[in-house]
This record gives sequence, C-alpha cells and structure tokens, in this order.
Amino acid sequence: MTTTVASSSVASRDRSPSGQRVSWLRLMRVALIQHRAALITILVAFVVLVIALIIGRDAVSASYASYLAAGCTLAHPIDFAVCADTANKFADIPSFTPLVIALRLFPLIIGAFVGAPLVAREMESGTYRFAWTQGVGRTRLLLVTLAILALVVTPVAVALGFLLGGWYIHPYAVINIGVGSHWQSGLFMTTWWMMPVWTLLSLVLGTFIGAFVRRTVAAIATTMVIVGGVLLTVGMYLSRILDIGAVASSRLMLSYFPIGTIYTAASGGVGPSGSLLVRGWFVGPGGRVLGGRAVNRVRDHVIGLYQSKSGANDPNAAKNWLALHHYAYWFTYQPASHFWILQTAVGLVVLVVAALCVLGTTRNVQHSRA
Amino acid sequence: MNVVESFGLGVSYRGTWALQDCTLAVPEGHIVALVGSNGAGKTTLLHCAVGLVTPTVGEVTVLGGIGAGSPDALERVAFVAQEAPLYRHITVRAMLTVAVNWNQHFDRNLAEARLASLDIPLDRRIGRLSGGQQAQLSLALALARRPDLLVLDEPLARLDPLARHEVMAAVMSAVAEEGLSVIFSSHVVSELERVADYLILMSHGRVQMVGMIDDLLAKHVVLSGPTDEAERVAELFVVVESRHAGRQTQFVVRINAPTEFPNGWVAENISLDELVLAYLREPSASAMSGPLAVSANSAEVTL
Repeated sequence: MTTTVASSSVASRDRSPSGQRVSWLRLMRVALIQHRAALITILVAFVVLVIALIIGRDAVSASYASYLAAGCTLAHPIDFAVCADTANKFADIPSFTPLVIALRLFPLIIGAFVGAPLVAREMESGTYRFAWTQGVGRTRLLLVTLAILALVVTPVAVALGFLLGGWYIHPYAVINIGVGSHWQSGLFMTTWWMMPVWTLLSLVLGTFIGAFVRRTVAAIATTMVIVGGVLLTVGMYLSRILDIGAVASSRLMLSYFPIGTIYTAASGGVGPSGSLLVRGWFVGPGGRVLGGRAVNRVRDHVIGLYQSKSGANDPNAAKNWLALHHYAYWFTYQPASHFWILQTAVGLVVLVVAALCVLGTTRNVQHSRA
Repeated sequence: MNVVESFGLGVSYRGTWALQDCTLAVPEGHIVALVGSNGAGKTTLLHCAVGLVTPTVGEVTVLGGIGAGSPDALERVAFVAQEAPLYRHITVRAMLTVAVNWNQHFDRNLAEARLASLDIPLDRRIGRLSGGQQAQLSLALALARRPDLLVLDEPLARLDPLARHEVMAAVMSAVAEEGLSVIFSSHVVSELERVADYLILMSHGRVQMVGMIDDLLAKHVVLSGPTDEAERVAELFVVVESRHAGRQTQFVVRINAPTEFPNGWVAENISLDELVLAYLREPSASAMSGPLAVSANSAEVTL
C-alpha cells in the first residue's frame, strides 16, 4: 500500500472572506445523517400513538353513534335508559386513561431518548473532539441540531394534540363532560399547543442534563427522573395554577357545596357553562371563612333544604337561608373564555424555561473541559 | 509568524493543575514534536491550542494571534484527536459528507483520493475499519480541510509499525506539498526523530525544553570521565543529568559554545532519545529557546 496525494492537494489554500460561515442548510443536512436514529425514534413514537388513538376511537365509535341515534344530548345524558346504558358502556372502555397517559409520556420519551443522548453521547464516545474542532463551531452545531430536532418534534406533537383533543376526545366531551373536558388535567396538558411546548422543554432539558452528566445511559435515566418529576408535579399542582386569575362568585349557586379544591368541569347546569370550578368555601357572619365543624353544620343544613319537599320546589331556598343567617357560599371558577389565555400563559412560562435550558447547555458546551 | 503562542497558560481540573505557567512560541513551517511522559500535559496543551479547553489562566493564540477556538481559528486549524474518535455508526462516505458540510473549505476530492490510495472503502461503516484505517481516515479528513496548522494528538499510539509508517508518510507528504505547520504529540521519541525538526518537551504540566532539535542536540553532549574528578567537572558545566557507575561518571551537560573539555573526559554527541530521557529524569532542569527563556530554576539556561 502506498500513500499518494491527489493533484488537487497542491492547489493553493484559498480562503473565503472572514465571516463567511457554513450555511444552516448544510448543517441541517448533517443533522439528518447524524441523528437518524433520534428522528426514527420520534416517528416510531408518533406512529404508535396515532395507531393507538385510531384503535381507541374505533372502540367508542359504535357506542357514540348509538348515543346520538337515540337523540341523547349533553343536556339530557341519562334521562333515558338508552342514554344511561350507552354512557355506562363508555365508562367501561379502557382506552381513555392509557391513551392520555401515553400522550403525556410523549415529551418524556423525546427528552430521554432524543435530548439526553445529544451531547452526552458525543462526550462519552469522545467524538466531541472531532465535532467541536470543525469549522462550524460547537455553539452553532448545538443550536442547529436542536433546531432541526425541534422542527421535527413540533409538528408531530401538534398533530398528536389535535388528534387527541379535537378528534379522539370528542365523544367523551359530548357524553360526559367531566371526563372529556379540556380542563381536565390530562387533557389540559395535551392540547395541540401544550404538547409541542412540553415536548420542546423535555427535549432541551434532556440535552441540558446530558451535557452535565456526560454519560448516555445515566443521562437518559436522569432525564426520565427529572422530566417525569416535572410533568408529575405540574399535573399534581395544576389546580393551583388554574386558580390564578379565577373568578370568585357568591351569586351563583352550586347544587352541592364542595369545600377546598374542586377542580371539576362545570356540567349539567352546575356552574357557568364550559367553566372549570376551582375552589369553594363558606363565609360566616363578619366575613370570616368557616372551617371544620362549622362548615359541615351549614352544608348539612343547606343540602337538607334541597332534599326537603319545600326546598326542592324553591330553587332559592338555600340561598335565602344562607343570607338570612349571614352565611355565603363562595367558589372560584375559570370561565370558558379563560381557557386559551391560561394555555398561552402556562405555555409561555414553559418556553421561557426551555430557552433557559438552551442557554445553560450552550454555556456548558462552550466552557466544557471534558 | 508563530503558529502557536501561549503566555502564562494554565489549566486546572478541580484544583489540580494539568498545565501550568506555559509560555512558548512555536514558529511556522515546522514539524513540532510535543514530547513528555504520561500525564505531562501534552493533550491539555493541544486541546487549548485547538479550542477544546478554555484556559484557567493565561491565553493561547494560533496562526499569528488568532484566539484559539475562535471561528477563524477553527477554519484554519485541523485536529486529529487521540484514538481518532469518529462516528462509528455511519459509513466513510457519510463521514465525508459530514465533514464537507461542517467546513467551509473541505476538499472532498482530496479526501477521496487519499482514501482510495489507502484502499479504504467508502461504503464501509467506520466502526468496521481497522485502527490504522480509522487513523488514516481521521488524517484524511483533517488534511482535506486544507489547514494552515495540523495538530495531531498521539496519532500513532494504537497503530502497528506499518500503519505508523504510513500515517507519518502521509503527514510528511502533506507538509511537503502544502507547506503547513504540524504539531504532534507522542511519548515515543524514536518515532519523532525522523520527521520532527522542532521539539517541545513537557513534564509535570510544565514546558521543560523548547527549540529546534538540531540546536538542542548541538548544545548538549554526553561527558564521561573518572568519578573522582566528577565534582570539579560538574562545576564547569550546566549538568542536566549525572550518572555514576563505579569509577566512571557520565554527565549530560549543556554547552553554549564550542568548549574544551578536561583531560581524561570524553565528550560524545547525544541522541534525541538520550536528551529527552535526561530531561525527563530531571524535571527541575529546563532549556527554553531564544527570547522566551524563563527563569524557572537553577539549571535553566538560554540557548
């Protein structure tokens, strides 16, 4: 074997004017080659979830069709035996909860299996010594790679959000608003807007963690714990988040008097139509909030009024009794018109956190001493 | 122009100095051998020069004052890292595509011609190439960037003798045709002697000796004579290393000009191997060239 040098090697080393850099388009082409496995992971997850949604929707379609054929509506869901029967069959269909959970896990999968290995694998295998010494520069390389992955995951996540919230969930929303309401925690977090927002956060948070951990498997595990923890915590405390900017009312009455966190979609004429009931409490004489046994005493009395013959005929009986004894029932609710405002606000906060993660990863990569 | 310049350069990893007080200037047009024992700081110095490591203190520039790791420097400096890390899951052809798109001035024809001459198939996954082929591929990718400075970190470490010869031949050929400057590190001095004309010797995170190899060899001799006169003779020269074997003593000494040696003492030319070993055995000794001489210890001298 001999070593020869191509004739082109003797050509002079012409340099373009300083400042001319490798184009983004060329960098995207490399990202498509280099991160093929990650892109396949995204598409496989997407296809699996779409198939699951189609199968899930197919399972409820027959019940939904018979429900509509019987003339059942949301206003009279269980007045007729056939409506009640169909509604019960709906309740037995097991696909709803697993599907919502699967969609909520989509961001976690992207963060753990696409984001976490992005920098960690380069560090672990040592290929960062090749990549970061090329003409492109490590910061541009990181940003372009994240951008192309974001460009792929965003439409995928939007599509999943649309499929779940706009198509799959529709029969549930018609038959049982308590389950199918977009205010419900699982659905609030999986709208066409929230899905890409959380997926992007998960992607960049995974990358951020990977840049610190520098070991692929450890980065995946850490990302699963941290991103999973974040998603779980936000889900658990969503009722508190949704209390922000809620409207308080003592003029409207609920047919029951829940105290503390309610977090239930208004339905069947209970509460303003399309709203989310957030929190309820009783106020006694002097404006103090009632607690403990005092609440139970007042509530028992008012509910007793509803159940009595005279109370059942007078819709204002409870309200009048409360006013007579200087009590008031208050509750907060998010009107239907607040839904997209809250979606936007929560989404923007998540995107700001995602931007901070990108900033942190960039700084880490710039000053890395691996 | 200096291809690498550093001033007061230091790199600390969690409180431990991997590189300390490193001030040097490497002129262009040389093949520079960076030599030192394991853990001497060679890789850290090279990583600073290519921008992979940000110095804790001091600064390092390349190619006449460009900040190491800056966009301009990245365009003009090519680096082949230890163990030639490449993307093992993609083919050689895909790797070329990656390199073409990551560099503004990548000469794909040059790389393909070099790989063809080495019988490296373009459609083979990199992970299935031999160690020698991977090293050659790394070198081909670096040379096809048409750099002004080529930095090689222990490129021969895991290669068999034939592959070592081929890699060094490729480097020499590129230097001859392109006129680029090369810095490469190794702890195997015998490999460097044939190709390098400039030496940087590092020990314990510090630069111990810098200069043209011919100059360094001309200014050191091995002096042998009777042990009972050793003390007197040692006062006449700068002794880098001394060894006693019974009635015979051997010094490695540094001389600044043609010198007459004491009667009964024999001066012999020193090999690069011996010179490097002598300095490595005596970390307190140093020899810095020209205006960059640094007063570090008693045995230091300006050449």
